[in-house]
Amino acid sequence: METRVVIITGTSKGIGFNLAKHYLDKGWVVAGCSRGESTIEHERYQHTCLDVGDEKAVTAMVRKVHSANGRIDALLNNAGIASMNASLLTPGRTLESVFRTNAFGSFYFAREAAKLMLKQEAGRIVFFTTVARPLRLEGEIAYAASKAAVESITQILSRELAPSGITVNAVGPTPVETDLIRGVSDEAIQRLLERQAIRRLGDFADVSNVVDFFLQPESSFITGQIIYLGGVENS
Amino acid sequence: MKPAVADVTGIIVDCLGRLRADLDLPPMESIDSETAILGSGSDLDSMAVVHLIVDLEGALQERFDLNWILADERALSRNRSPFRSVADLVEFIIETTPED
Repeated sequence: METRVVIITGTSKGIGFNLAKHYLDKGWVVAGCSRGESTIEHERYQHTCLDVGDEKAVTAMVRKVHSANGRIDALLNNAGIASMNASLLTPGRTLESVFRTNAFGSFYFAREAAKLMLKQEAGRIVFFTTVARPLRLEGEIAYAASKAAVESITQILSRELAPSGITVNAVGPTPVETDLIRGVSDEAIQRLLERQAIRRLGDFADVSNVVDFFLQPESSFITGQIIYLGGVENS
Repeated sequence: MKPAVADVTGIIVDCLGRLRADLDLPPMESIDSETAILGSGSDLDSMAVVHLIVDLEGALQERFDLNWILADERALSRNRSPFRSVADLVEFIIETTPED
């Protein structure tokens, strides 16, 4: 079997870093990106420094990865930023910045990867959302709203790309011990956990388990789905 | 520097011919600047046009070493789409030539 190629966004730390390691361990070629230099040294790891909200840079990266490897089997649209603030104190520039990375950036990667996957008549795209969206978490208006956009993108793309053999799904993690929640108070985390059916923080394996499920060959009949961790319901 | 009309037209004609063969559509007697791509005068559906655009982006990159993004909010508009005919598409491609 040929070596499979996955693009993972936001690989410098957190879930993206761990996903990159996970798929390198499984023998994939991993093309990652982040704003800064690579934090991963591996013969099958290819890094690009970029801002995921830069449409031209994203386009160039995706096409370069395809030219270098001859294929793109999967895209994991992990890169994201969070923002916690009361809605009435949230400046417009925060919304612009969060949407630019979380929604626009994910869309640019998906659009460009899907164009190349069309030719292969196969491909897997996984978006990253959050339980903050269905829980309608107070204080997370920019983050949750940007992820609502991500969920719509997931579901519309899944229908447009289904005839071409490309599946598009999303995973919605609970809080995981990463930099993204470092600034959140213990009380806020505790209040969030109490709204989950399974009341604990997620860990990386909880996330990779769902991603593995979306990427496995047997999941070719699974598309347009959003799976939240921790027993949070889609509503 | 923006590419020449003749060069871009040639790339579109090549891609269109190959796409029709890939899709098992009957070959056209001739493909020229008046040939319709999208709309009532064309037998290509919107998915075929998407494939054409992807092929064109690849061919343009190969020829000019630049990354065109052939996306436009008027793409599927009946009256204003830059993909209505070969001539419209040539104009659009030249207009949207990326900077180095």
